[in-house]
Amino acid sequence: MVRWPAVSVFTGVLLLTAPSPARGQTIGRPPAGSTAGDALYDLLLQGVAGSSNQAAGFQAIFRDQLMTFPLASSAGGFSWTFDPTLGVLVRHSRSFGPMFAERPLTSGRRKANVSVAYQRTRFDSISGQPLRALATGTDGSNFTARSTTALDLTTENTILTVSYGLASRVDVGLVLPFGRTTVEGTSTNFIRSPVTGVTFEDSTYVVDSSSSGVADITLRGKVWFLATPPLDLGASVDLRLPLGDDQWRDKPDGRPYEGCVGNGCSHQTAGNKLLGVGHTQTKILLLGAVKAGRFSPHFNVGYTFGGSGPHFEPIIFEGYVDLNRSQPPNEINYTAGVDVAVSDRLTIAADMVGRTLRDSIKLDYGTRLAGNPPQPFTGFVVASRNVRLLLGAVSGKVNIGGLWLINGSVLFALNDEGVSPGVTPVIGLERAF
Amino acid sequence: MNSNWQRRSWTVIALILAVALEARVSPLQAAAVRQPHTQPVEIGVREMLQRYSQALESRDAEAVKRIQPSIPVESLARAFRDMRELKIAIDAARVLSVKGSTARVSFRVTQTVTPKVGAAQTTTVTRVMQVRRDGGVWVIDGFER
Repeated sequence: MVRWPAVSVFTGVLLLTAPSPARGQTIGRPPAGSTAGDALYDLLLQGVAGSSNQAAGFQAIFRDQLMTFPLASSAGGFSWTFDPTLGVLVRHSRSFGPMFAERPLTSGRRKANVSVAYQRTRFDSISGQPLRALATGTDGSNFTARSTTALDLTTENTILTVSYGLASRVDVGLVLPFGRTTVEGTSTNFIRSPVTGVTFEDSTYVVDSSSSGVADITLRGKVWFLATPPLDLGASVDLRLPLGDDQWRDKPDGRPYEGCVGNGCSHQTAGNKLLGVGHTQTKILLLGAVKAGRFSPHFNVGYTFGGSGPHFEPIIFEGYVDLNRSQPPNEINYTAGVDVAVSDRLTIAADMVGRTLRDSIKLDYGTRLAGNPPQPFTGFVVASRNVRLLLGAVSGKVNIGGLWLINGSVLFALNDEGVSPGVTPVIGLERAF
Repeated sequence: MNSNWQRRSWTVIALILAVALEARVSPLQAAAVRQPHTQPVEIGVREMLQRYSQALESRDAEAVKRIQPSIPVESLARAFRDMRELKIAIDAARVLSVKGSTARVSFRVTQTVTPKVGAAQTTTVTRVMQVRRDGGVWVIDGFER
Protein backbone atom coordinates (compact mmCIF):
# COMPACT_ATOMS: atom_id res chain seq x y z
CA MET A 1 0.00 0.00 0.00
CA VAL A 2 1.45 3.33 -1.09
CA ARG A 3 1.14 6.17 1.38
CA TRP A 4 0.95 9.81 0.61
CA PRO A 5 4.31 11.41 0.49
CA ALA A 6 5.62 13.19 3.50
CA VAL A 7 6.42 16.08 1.37
CA SER A 8 8.58 19.06 1.96
CA VAL A 9 6.05 20.74 -0.26
CA PHE A 10 3.67 21.06 2.65
CA THR A 11 6.28 22.74 4.70
CA GLY A 12 6.79 25.06 1.78
CA VAL A 13 3.07 25.68 1.39
CA LEU A 14 2.80 26.58 5.04
CA LEU A 15 5.73 28.90 4.75
CA LEU A 16 4.18 30.58 1.75
CA THR A 17 0.91 31.10 3.53
CA ALA A 18 2.60 32.74 6.49
CA PRO A 19 5.96 33.75 5.18
CA SER A 20 8.66 35.64 6.92
CA PRO A 21 11.72 36.36 4.81
CA ALA A 22 14.96 34.74 5.92
CA ARG A 23 17.57 37.08 7.37
CA GLY A 24 20.46 35.13 5.87
CA GLN A 25 21.80 31.64 5.91
CA THR A 26 21.52 29.81 9.24
CA ILE A 27 23.67 26.90 10.34
CA GLY A 28 22.27 24.36 12.81
CA ARG A 29 23.81 21.49 14.71
CA PRO A 30 22.41 18.78 16.98
CA PRO A 31 22.94 19.24 20.72
CA ALA A 32 26.31 18.14 22.02
CA GLY A 33 26.39 14.47 22.96
CA SER A 34 23.70 13.45 20.49
CA THR A 35 23.75 9.77 19.62
CA ALA A 36 24.27 8.54 16.06
CA GLY A 37 20.56 7.79 15.83
CA ASP A 38 19.62 11.31 16.92
CA ALA A 39 22.05 12.85 14.49
CA LEU A 40 20.68 10.77 11.64
CA TYR A 41 17.10 11.63 12.51
CA ASP A 42 17.84 15.34 12.75
CA LEU A 43 19.88 15.41 9.58
CA LEU A 44 17.06 13.83 7.61
CA LEU A 45 14.42 15.96 9.32
CA GLN A 46 16.31 19.10 8.41
CA GLY A 47 16.86 17.86 4.87
CA VAL A 48 15.09 15.51 2.52
CA ALA A 49 12.68 13.99 5.04
CA GLY A 50 10.95 17.30 5.46
CA SER A 51 8.67 16.12 8.27
CA SER A 52 9.09 14.24 11.50
CA ASN A 53 6.77 11.58 10.12
CA GLN A 54 8.97 10.87 7.17
CA ALA A 55 12.11 11.14 9.29
CA ALA A 56 10.63 8.38 11.44
CA GLY A 57 10.08 6.34 8.30
CA PHE A 58 13.71 6.79 7.31
CA GLN A 59 14.75 5.93 10.84
CA ALA A 60 12.77 2.68 10.79
CA ILE A 61 14.30 1.74 7.45
CA PHE A 62 17.81 2.27 8.76
CA ARG A 63 17.00 0.23 11.85
CA ASP A 64 15.49 -2.67 9.88
CA GLN A 65 18.23 -2.81 7.26
CA LEU A 66 21.45 -1.49 8.81
CA MET A 67 21.10 -3.10 12.20
CA THR A 68 20.37 -6.50 10.66
CA PHE A 69 23.04 -6.22 7.98
CA PRO A 70 24.78 -9.60 7.66
CA LEU A 71 27.86 -9.95 9.82
CA ALA A 72 30.73 -12.31 9.12
CA SER A 73 30.59 -15.24 11.51
CA SER A 74 32.79 -18.16 10.66
CA ALA A 75 31.64 -21.29 12.46
CA GLY A 76 34.57 -23.60 12.01
CA GLY A 77 36.84 -24.49 9.14
CA PHE A 78 38.01 -27.88 10.35
CA SER A 79 35.56 -30.72 10.57
CA TRP A 80 36.81 -34.29 11.10
CA THR A 81 34.55 -37.30 11.21
CA PHE A 82 35.04 -41.02 11.55
CA ASP A 83 34.30 -42.65 8.19
CA PRO A 84 32.81 -46.10 8.98
CA THR A 85 33.43 -47.33 5.44
CA LEU A 86 37.12 -46.47 5.47
CA GLY A 87 37.60 -47.11 9.15
CA VAL A 88 39.62 -43.95 9.70
CA LEU A 89 39.13 -40.30 10.65
CA VAL A 90 38.73 -38.13 7.57
CA ARG A 91 38.38 -34.43 6.99
CA HIS A 92 34.70 -34.20 6.19
CA SER A 93 35.27 -31.37 3.80
CA ARG A 94 38.50 -30.21 2.23
CA SER A 95 37.06 -26.72 2.22
CA PHE A 96 37.24 -24.39 5.23
CA GLY A 97 33.76 -23.14 4.35
CA PRO A 98 32.19 -19.76 3.57
CA MET A 99 31.96 -16.65 5.75
CA PHE A 100 28.46 -15.44 4.99
CA ALA A 101 26.68 -18.78 4.87
CA GLU A 102 26.32 -21.59 7.35
CA ARG A 103 27.46 -25.12 6.59
CA PRO A 104 25.62 -28.10 8.08
CA LEU A 105 28.95 -29.46 9.35
CA THR A 106 29.60 -29.15 13.06
CA SER A 107 32.83 -28.78 14.99
CA GLY A 108 32.71 -32.23 16.61
CA ARG A 109 32.11 -33.24 20.20
CA ARG A 110 33.98 -31.06 22.70
CA LYS A 111 35.62 -29.12 19.86
CA ALA A 112 35.50 -25.37 19.90
CA ASN A 113 36.02 -22.70 17.29
CA VAL A 114 36.74 -19.06 18.00
CA SER A 115 36.92 -16.32 15.40
CA VAL A 116 37.33 -12.57 15.46
CA ALA A 117 36.45 -10.46 12.42
CA TYR A 118 36.41 -6.77 11.63
CA GLN A 119 33.82 -5.49 9.19
CA ARG A 120 33.42 -1.93 7.92
CA THR A 121 30.41 -0.92 5.89
CA ARG A 122 29.87 2.45 4.32
CA PHE A 123 26.36 2.73 2.98
CA ASP A 124 26.00 4.12 -0.51
CA SER A 125 22.37 4.56 -1.43
CA ILE A 126 18.75 4.30 -0.42
CA SER A 127 16.20 3.17 -2.98
CA GLY A 128 18.81 3.75 -5.65
CA GLN A 129 19.46 7.37 -4.61
CA PRO A 130 23.02 8.17 -3.51
CA LEU A 131 23.13 8.92 0.20
CA ARG A 132 25.73 11.61 -0.45
CA ALA A 133 23.42 13.50 -2.81
CA LEU A 134 19.81 13.08 -1.74
CA ALA A 135 17.56 15.81 -3.07
CA THR A 136 13.88 16.67 -2.93
CA GLY A 137 11.97 19.73 -3.93
CA THR A 138 9.81 21.56 -6.39
CA ASP A 139 10.22 24.27 -8.98
CA GLY A 140 6.63 25.42 -9.12
CA SER A 141 5.21 28.71 -10.23
CA ASN A 142 4.39 29.71 -6.65
CA PHE A 143 7.65 28.82 -5.01
CA THR A 144 10.91 26.99 -5.38
CA ALA A 145 11.80 24.64 -2.56
CA ARG A 146 14.86 22.45 -2.50
CA SER A 147 16.13 20.19 0.25
CA THR A 148 19.33 18.25 0.04
CA THR A 149 21.04 15.84 2.36
CA ALA A 150 24.59 14.56 2.00
CA LEU A 151 24.86 11.63 4.36
CA ASP A 152 27.97 9.65 5.18
CA LEU A 153 26.86 6.63 7.19
CA THR A 154 29.37 4.02 8.33
CA THR A 155 29.12 1.01 10.60
CA GLU A 156 32.12 -0.82 11.97
CA ASN A 157 31.83 -4.10 13.81
CA THR A 158 34.35 -6.28 15.57
CA ILE A 159 32.65 -9.65 15.77
CA LEU A 160 33.58 -12.39 18.20
CA THR A 161 32.13 -15.77 17.26
CA VAL A 162 32.42 -18.85 19.44
CA SER A 163 31.04 -22.29 18.69
CA TYR A 164 31.30 -25.46 20.72
CA GLY A 165 30.41 -29.06 19.92
CA LEU A 166 27.99 -30.36 22.54
CA ALA A 167 27.83 -33.63 20.66
CA SER A 168 29.42 -34.90 17.48
CA ARG A 169 26.63 -33.32 15.47
CA VAL A 170 25.33 -30.59 17.74
CA ASP A 171 26.97 -27.18 18.08
CA VAL A 172 26.04 -24.22 20.21
CA GLY A 173 27.49 -20.79 19.66
CA LEU A 174 27.53 -17.09 20.33
CA VAL A 175 28.02 -14.09 18.04
CA LEU A 176 29.03 -10.98 19.95
CA PRO A 177 29.54 -7.81 17.89
CA PHE A 178 31.08 -4.61 19.21
CA GLY A 179 29.77 -1.89 17.00
CA ARG A 180 30.46 1.71 16.12
CA THR A 181 28.12 3.76 13.94
CA THR A 182 29.20 7.09 12.54
CA VAL A 183 26.85 9.65 11.00
CA GLU A 184 28.30 12.66 9.23
CA GLY A 185 26.49 14.92 6.87
CA THR A 186 24.94 18.16 5.82
CA SER A 187 21.36 19.08 5.01
CA THR A 188 20.28 22.26 3.29
CA ASN A 189 16.89 23.88 2.82
CA PHE A 190 16.20 26.63 0.35
CA ILE A 191 12.77 28.15 -0.24
CA ARG A 192 12.22 31.11 -2.50
CA SER A 193 9.34 32.78 -4.29
CA PRO A 194 10.05 33.17 -8.01
CA VAL A 195 7.36 35.84 -8.13
CA THR A 196 8.63 38.18 -5.43
CA GLY A 197 12.23 36.97 -5.34
CA VAL A 198 12.01 36.73 -1.55
CA THR A 199 14.03 33.93 0.10
CA PHE A 200 12.11 32.41 2.98
CA GLU A 201 14.63 29.86 4.10
CA ASP A 202 18.28 29.27 3.42
CA SER A 203 19.56 26.97 6.12
CA THR A 204 22.25 24.39 6.58
CA TYR A 205 22.34 21.67 9.18
CA VAL A 206 25.55 19.83 9.99
CA VAL A 207 26.00 16.62 11.98
CA ASP A 208 29.05 14.65 12.99
CA SER A 209 28.25 12.01 15.58
CA SER A 210 29.09 8.46 16.45
CA SER A 211 27.99 5.85 18.98
CA SER A 212 29.71 2.67 20.00
CA GLY A 213 29.17 -0.30 22.28
CA VAL A 214 27.96 -3.86 22.37
CA ALA A 215 25.53 -4.52 19.56
CA ASP A 216 22.84 -7.21 19.50
CA ILE A 217 24.21 -10.63 20.40
CA THR A 218 23.12 -13.86 18.79
CA LEU A 219 22.84 -17.26 20.47
CA ARG A 220 23.06 -20.11 18.01
CA GLY A 221 22.29 -23.79 17.96
CA LYS A 222 23.03 -26.11 15.05
CA VAL A 223 22.26 -29.76 14.31
CA TRP A 224 23.84 -31.74 11.49
CA PHE A 225 21.09 -34.28 10.96
CA LEU A 226 21.89 -35.89 7.63
CA ALA A 227 25.23 -37.02 6.28
CA THR A 228 24.48 -39.12 3.23
CA PRO A 229 27.31 -38.56 0.78
CA PRO A 230 27.40 -36.35 -1.12
CA LEU A 231 24.58 -34.47 0.69
CA ASP A 232 24.80 -32.96 4.14
CA LEU A 233 21.79 -31.33 5.77
CA GLY A 234 21.46 -29.46 9.02
CA ALA A 235 19.35 -26.89 10.77
CA SER A 236 20.15 -23.90 12.91
CA VAL A 237 18.30 -21.57 15.21
CA ASP A 238 19.58 -18.07 15.94
CA LEU A 239 18.18 -16.09 18.83
CA ARG A 240 19.09 -12.43 18.49
CA LEU A 241 18.91 -10.52 21.75
CA PRO A 242 18.49 -6.73 21.71
CA LEU A 243 21.51 -5.69 23.72
CA GLY A 244 22.50 -2.97 21.26
CA ASP A 245 19.56 -0.59 21.49
CA ASP A 246 16.26 -0.46 23.26
CA GLN A 247 15.57 3.17 22.51
CA TRP A 248 13.74 2.99 19.22
CA ARG A 249 11.10 5.52 20.07
CA ASP A 250 10.28 9.14 19.56
CA LYS A 251 10.41 11.69 22.32
CA PRO A 252 8.24 14.48 20.94
CA ASP A 253 9.16 16.84 23.74
CA GLY A 254 12.83 16.75 22.93
CA ARG A 255 15.23 19.66 23.06
CA PRO A 256 15.52 22.18 20.22
CA TYR A 257 18.68 21.81 18.27
CA GLU A 258 21.47 24.34 18.46
CA GLY A 259 21.01 27.24 16.09
CA CYS A 260 17.38 26.39 15.46
CA VAL A 261 15.28 29.39 14.40
CA GLY A 262 11.71 29.69 13.21
CA ASN A 263 9.26 26.91 12.64
CA GLY A 264 9.89 23.19 12.59
CA CYS A 265 12.83 23.04 14.92
CA SER A 266 11.35 20.89 17.64
CA HIS A 267 13.90 18.25 18.21
CA GLN A 268 12.58 14.70 18.28
CA THR A 269 15.24 12.56 19.79
CA ALA A 270 14.99 8.83 19.40
CA GLY A 271 17.94 8.35 21.71
CA ASN A 272 19.19 5.27 19.92
CA LYS A 273 22.77 4.54 19.00
CA LEU A 274 22.17 2.64 15.76
CA LEU A 275 23.61 -0.50 17.29
CA GLY A 276 20.65 -2.85 17.39
CA VAL A 277 17.05 -3.49 16.44
CA GLY A 278 15.63 -3.24 19.94
CA HIS A 279 13.59 -6.41 19.58
CA THR A 280 14.24 -10.14 20.08
CA GLN A 281 14.38 -12.02 16.80
CA THR A 282 14.48 -15.74 15.98
CA LYS A 283 15.92 -17.08 12.76
CA ILE A 284 15.43 -20.68 11.64
CA LEU A 285 17.54 -22.01 8.79
CA LEU A 286 17.79 -25.21 6.80
CA LEU A 287 21.42 -25.76 5.88
CA GLY A 288 22.56 -27.85 2.96
CA ALA A 289 25.87 -28.69 1.30
CA VAL A 290 26.98 -31.07 -1.39
CA LYS A 291 30.48 -32.48 -1.71
CA ALA A 292 31.72 -32.64 -5.28
CA GLY A 293 35.46 -33.09 -5.09
CA ARG A 294 37.05 -29.79 -4.26
CA PHE A 295 33.75 -27.98 -4.89
CA SER A 296 31.08 -27.71 -2.27
CA PRO A 297 27.87 -25.99 -3.33
CA HIS A 298 25.83 -24.94 -0.33
CA PHE A 299 22.57 -23.24 0.51
CA ASN A 300 20.70 -21.79 3.47
CA VAL A 301 17.00 -21.11 3.43
CA GLY A 302 14.88 -19.98 6.32
CA TYR A 303 12.72 -17.46 8.06
CA THR A 304 13.30 -14.76 10.64
CA PHE A 305 10.57 -13.99 13.08
CA GLY A 306 11.60 -10.37 13.33
CA GLY A 307 8.59 -8.62 14.79
CA SER A 308 5.27 -7.14 13.82
CA GLY A 309 6.83 -4.76 11.28
CA PRO A 310 6.29 -1.05 10.77
CA HIS A 311 3.24 0.56 12.28
CA PHE A 312 1.64 3.13 9.99
CA GLU A 313 -0.57 5.86 11.34
CA PRO A 314 -2.79 7.24 8.60
CA ILE A 315 -3.28 10.99 8.68
CA ILE A 316 -4.73 13.39 6.17
CA PHE A 317 -1.78 13.95 3.92
CA GLU A 318 0.42 10.95 4.53
CA GLY A 319 0.86 7.70 6.32
CA TYR A 320 3.63 7.97 8.79
CA VAL A 321 5.60 5.41 10.69
CA ASP A 322 5.01 5.38 14.42
CA LEU A 323 8.39 4.36 15.80
CA ASN A 324 6.94 3.76 19.24
CA ARG A 325 4.79 0.94 17.96
CA SER A 326 6.96 -0.31 15.11
CA GLN A 327 9.01 -3.45 15.22
CA PRO A 328 11.37 -5.00 12.67
CA PRO A 329 9.59 -7.03 10.00
CA ASN A 330 9.68 -10.78 9.45
CA GLU A 331 12.18 -11.92 6.85
CA ILE A 332 12.63 -14.70 4.35
CA ASN A 333 16.31 -15.62 4.23
CA TYR A 334 18.08 -17.39 1.39
CA THR A 335 21.73 -17.86 0.61
CA ALA A 336 23.35 -19.90 -2.12
CA GLY A 337 26.95 -20.27 -3.10
CA VAL A 338 29.91 -22.50 -3.54
CA ASP A 339 33.14 -22.94 -1.65
CA VAL A 340 36.17 -24.34 -3.40
CA ALA A 341 39.23 -25.93 -1.80
CA VAL A 342 41.79 -24.43 -4.14
CA SER A 343 44.52 -26.23 -2.21
CA ASP A 344 44.83 -27.93 1.16
CA ARG A 345 45.48 -24.53 2.72
CA LEU A 346 43.27 -22.19 0.70
CA THR A 347 39.50 -22.04 0.29
CA ILE A 348 37.60 -19.45 -1.66
CA ALA A 349 33.85 -19.00 -1.56
CA ALA A 350 31.26 -17.00 -3.46
CA ASP A 351 27.78 -16.41 -2.09
CA MET A 352 24.57 -14.62 -2.88
CA VAL A 353 22.95 -13.53 0.37
CA GLY A 354 19.27 -12.67 0.05
CA ARG A 355 16.70 -11.27 2.44
CA THR A 356 13.11 -10.35 1.77
CA LEU A 357 11.71 -8.06 4.44
CA ARG A 358 7.99 -8.75 4.52
CA ASP A 359 5.56 -5.82 4.59
CA SER A 360 8.40 -3.51 5.41
CA ILE A 361 8.90 0.15 4.62
CA LYS A 362 9.96 1.08 1.16
CA LEU A 363 10.85 4.48 -0.17
CA ASP A 364 9.99 5.18 -3.77
CA TYR A 365 11.71 8.12 -5.39
CA GLY A 366 10.17 10.09 -8.21
CA THR A 367 8.29 13.20 -9.33
CA ARG A 368 4.60 13.57 -8.59
CA LEU A 369 2.01 16.29 -8.40
CA ALA A 370 1.34 17.43 -4.86
CA GLY A 371 -0.15 20.37 -3.02
CA ASN A 372 -2.93 22.77 -3.87
CA PRO A 373 -2.67 23.97 -6.53
CA PRO A 374 -0.78 20.85 -7.69
CA GLN A 375 2.90 21.35 -8.33
CA PRO A 376 5.49 18.82 -9.50
CA PHE A 377 7.32 17.55 -6.48
CA THR A 378 10.39 15.33 -6.57
CA GLY A 379 10.96 13.24 -3.50
CA PHE A 380 10.29 10.06 -1.59
CA VAL A 381 7.04 8.22 -1.02
CA VAL A 382 6.72 5.96 1.99
CA ALA A 383 5.19 2.63 1.10
CA SER A 384 4.46 -0.63 2.88
CA ARG A 385 5.89 -3.39 0.72
CA ASN A 386 8.23 -6.32 0.64
CA VAL A 387 11.84 -5.18 0.34
CA ARG A 388 14.31 -7.51 -1.35
CA LEU A 389 17.93 -7.06 -0.32
CA LEU A 390 20.57 -8.93 -2.30
CA LEU A 391 24.25 -9.04 -1.46
CA GLY A 392 27.20 -10.78 -3.04
CA ALA A 393 30.11 -12.07 -0.98
CA VAL A 394 33.50 -13.35 -2.08
CA SER A 395 35.58 -14.86 0.71
CA GLY A 396 38.91 -16.54 1.20
CA LYS A 397 40.31 -18.59 4.09
CA VAL A 398 43.98 -19.43 4.41
CA ASN A 399 45.45 -21.93 6.85
CA ILE A 400 48.55 -20.34 8.31
CA GLY A 401 49.57 -23.36 10.36
CA GLY A 402 48.03 -25.59 12.97
CA LEU A 403 44.36 -24.83 13.30
CA TRP A 404 44.71 -21.12 12.53
CA LEU A 405 42.89 -19.51 9.64
CA ILE A 406 43.07 -15.99 8.26
CA ASN A 407 39.79 -14.96 6.67
CA GLY A 408 39.10 -12.17 4.23
CA SER A 409 35.93 -11.18 2.44
CA VAL A 410 34.25 -8.47 0.44
CA LEU A 411 30.52 -7.84 0.43
CA PHE A 412 28.74 -5.82 -2.23
CA ALA A 413 25.19 -4.96 -3.20
CA LEU A 414 23.54 -6.90 -6.01
CA ASN A 415 20.44 -4.70 -6.20
CA ASP A 416 19.47 -1.20 -5.16
CA GLU A 417 16.36 -1.81 -3.11
CA GLY A 418 16.51 -0.47 0.40
CA VAL A 419 19.73 0.79 1.89
CA SER A 420 22.64 -0.49 -0.20
CA PRO A 421 26.20 -0.86 1.06
CA GLY A 422 29.35 0.05 -0.75
CA VAL A 423 32.04 -2.58 -1.08
CA THR A 424 32.47 -3.89 2.46
CA PRO A 425 35.78 -5.39 3.49
CA VAL A 426 35.99 -8.03 6.23
CA ILE A 427 39.16 -9.41 7.77
CA GLY A 428 39.31 -12.07 10.45
CA LEU A 429 41.30 -14.62 12.37
CA GLU A 430 39.99 -18.00 13.44
CA ARG A 431 41.22 -20.96 15.46
CA ALA A 432 39.81 -24.36 16.25
CA PHE A 433 40.44 -26.01 19.61
CA MET B 1 30.44 -84.46 64.81
CA ASN B 2 32.28 -81.27 65.24
CA SER B 3 34.93 -82.34 62.68
CA ASN B 4 32.14 -83.31 60.24
CA TRP B 5 30.62 -79.89 60.60
CA GLN B 6 34.03 -78.31 59.96
CA ARG B 7 34.56 -80.45 56.83
CA ARG B 8 31.19 -79.42 55.48
CA SER B 9 31.97 -75.78 56.20
CA TRP B 10 35.25 -76.00 54.34
CA THR B 11 33.52 -77.70 51.45
CA VAL B 12 30.96 -74.87 51.23
CA ILE B 13 33.71 -72.22 51.39
CA ALA B 14 35.66 -74.04 48.65
CA LEU B 15 32.55 -74.11 46.47
CA ILE B 16 31.90 -70.38 47.01
CA LEU B 17 35.51 -69.58 46.10
CA ALA B 18 35.28 -71.74 43.00
CA VAL B 19 32.13 -69.89 41.87
CA ALA B 20 33.76 -66.54 42.60
CA LEU B 21 36.86 -67.45 40.60
CA GLU B 22 34.71 -68.63 37.73
CA ALA B 23 32.93 -65.28 37.77
CA ARG B 24 36.26 -63.44 37.48
CA VAL B 25 37.10 -65.12 34.17
CA SER B 26 37.08 -62.53 31.31
CA PRO B 27 34.07 -62.45 29.01
CA LEU B 28 36.27 -63.64 26.15
CA GLN B 29 37.52 -66.57 28.31
CA ALA B 30 34.00 -67.23 29.49
CA ALA B 31 32.86 -67.31 25.88
CA ALA B 32 35.73 -69.68 25.17
CA VAL B 33 34.65 -71.87 28.08
CA ARG B 34 31.10 -71.87 26.86
CA GLN B 35 32.23 -72.27 23.21
CA PRO B 36 35.56 -74.04 23.28
CA HIS B 37 35.80 -73.89 19.45
CA THR B 38 36.16 -70.02 19.52
CA GLN B 39 39.63 -70.18 21.04
CA PRO B 40 41.49 -70.75 17.74
CA VAL B 41 39.13 -68.16 16.16
CA GLU B 42 40.14 -65.66 18.80
CA ILE B 43 43.83 -66.25 18.18
CA GLY B 44 43.34 -65.85 14.45
CA VAL B 45 41.23 -62.72 14.87
CA ARG B 46 43.75 -61.13 17.23
CA GLU B 47 46.48 -61.79 14.67
CA MET B 48 44.29 -60.25 11.96
CA LEU B 49 43.55 -57.16 14.05
CA GLN B 50 47.26 -56.72 14.61
CA ARG B 51 47.88 -56.82 10.86
CA TYR B 52 44.96 -54.46 10.31
CA SER B 53 46.37 -52.02 12.85
CA GLN B 54 49.85 -52.14 11.29
CA ALA B 55 48.42 -51.64 7.79
CA LEU B 56 46.48 -48.56 8.92
CA GLU B 57 49.48 -47.12 10.77
CA SER B 58 51.68 -47.58 7.72
CA ARG B 59 49.00 -45.75 5.71
CA ASP B 60 49.28 -48.44 3.06
CA ALA B 61 45.88 -48.72 1.38
CA GLU B 62 46.85 -51.88 -0.53
CA ALA B 63 47.91 -53.58 2.71
CA VAL B 64 44.54 -52.67 4.24
CA LYS B 65 42.81 -54.05 1.16
CA ARG B 66 44.55 -57.42 1.67
CA ILE B 67 42.87 -57.62 5.08
CA GLN B 68 39.60 -55.94 4.07
CA PRO B 69 39.15 -56.76 0.36
CA SER B 70 35.90 -54.78 0.04
CA ILE B 71 37.38 -51.45 1.08
CA PRO B 72 37.30 -48.61 -1.51
CA VAL B 73 41.05 -48.47 -1.82
CA GLU B 74 41.24 -45.17 -3.72
CA SER B 75 39.14 -43.35 -1.15
CA LEU B 76 41.30 -44.78 1.60
CA ALA B 77 44.49 -43.76 -0.20
CA ARG B 78 43.04 -40.24 -0.56
CA ALA B 79 42.27 -40.12 3.16
CA PHE B 80 45.81 -41.32 3.95
CA ARG B 81 47.25 -38.53 1.78
CA ASP B 82 45.75 -35.95 4.21
CA MET B 83 47.63 -37.56 7.10
CA ARG B 84 51.10 -37.01 8.39
CA GLU B 85 50.77 -39.76 10.96
CA LEU B 86 48.14 -42.26 12.07
CA LYS B 87 48.37 -44.11 15.36
CA ILE B 88 46.05 -47.03 16.11
CA ALA B 89 45.32 -48.77 19.39
CA ILE B 90 42.91 -51.71 19.42
CA ASP B 91 41.58 -53.32 22.56
CA ALA B 92 38.52 -55.04 24.04
CA ALA B 93 38.35 -57.51 21.16
CA ARG B 94 35.60 -60.09 21.58
CA VAL B 95 34.42 -62.93 19.41
CA LEU B 96 30.66 -62.53 19.59
CA SER B 97 29.72 -65.61 17.59
CA VAL B 98 31.17 -68.20 15.28
CA LYS B 99 29.35 -69.86 12.40
CA GLY B 100 31.37 -72.16 10.23
CA SER B 101 34.25 -70.19 8.76
CA THR B 102 32.75 -66.83 9.66
CA ALA B 103 32.54 -64.91 12.89
CA ARG B 104 31.25 -61.69 14.38
CA VAL B 105 33.84 -59.72 16.29
CA SER B 106 33.66 -56.49 18.26
CA PHE B 107 36.63 -54.35 19.23
CA ARG B 108 37.44 -50.82 20.34
CA VAL B 109 39.78 -48.72 18.23
CA THR B 110 41.42 -45.45 19.21
CA GLN B 111 42.85 -43.42 16.34
CA THR B 112 45.06 -40.38 16.54
CA VAL B 113 45.47 -38.60 13.24
CA THR B 114 48.10 -35.93 12.75
CA PRO B 115 46.91 -34.25 9.56
CA LYS B 116 49.05 -32.35 7.10
CA VAL B 117 46.78 -29.35 7.68
CA GLY B 118 45.54 -28.78 11.20
CA ALA B 119 46.24 -30.34 14.57
CA ALA B 120 46.02 -33.92 15.81
CA GLN B 121 42.56 -35.43 16.17
CA THR B 122 41.73 -38.42 18.34
CA THR B 123 38.63 -40.56 18.33
CA THR B 124 37.62 -43.82 19.96
CA VAL B 125 34.89 -45.99 18.48
CA THR B 126 33.61 -49.48 19.13
CA ARG B 127 33.18 -51.47 15.96
CA VAL B 128 31.46 -54.71 15.08
CA MET B 129 32.66 -56.61 12.03
CA GLN B 130 32.02 -59.78 10.08
CA VAL B 131 35.16 -61.82 9.44
CA ARG B 132 35.79 -65.02 7.51
CA ARG B 133 38.58 -67.49 7.18
CA ASP B 134 40.14 -67.29 3.73
CA GLY B 135 42.94 -69.73 2.92
CA GLY B 136 44.05 -70.12 6.50
CA VAL B 137 43.96 -66.43 7.43
CA TRP B 138 41.13 -64.30 8.67
CA VAL B 139 39.94 -61.32 6.61
CA ILE B 140 37.32 -58.63 7.19
CA ASP B 141 34.11 -59.10 5.23
CA GLY B 142 32.54 -55.86 6.36
CA PHE B 143 31.59 -53.69 9.30
CA GLU B 144 28.17 -53.64 10.92
CA ARG B 145 29.02 -50.44 12.77
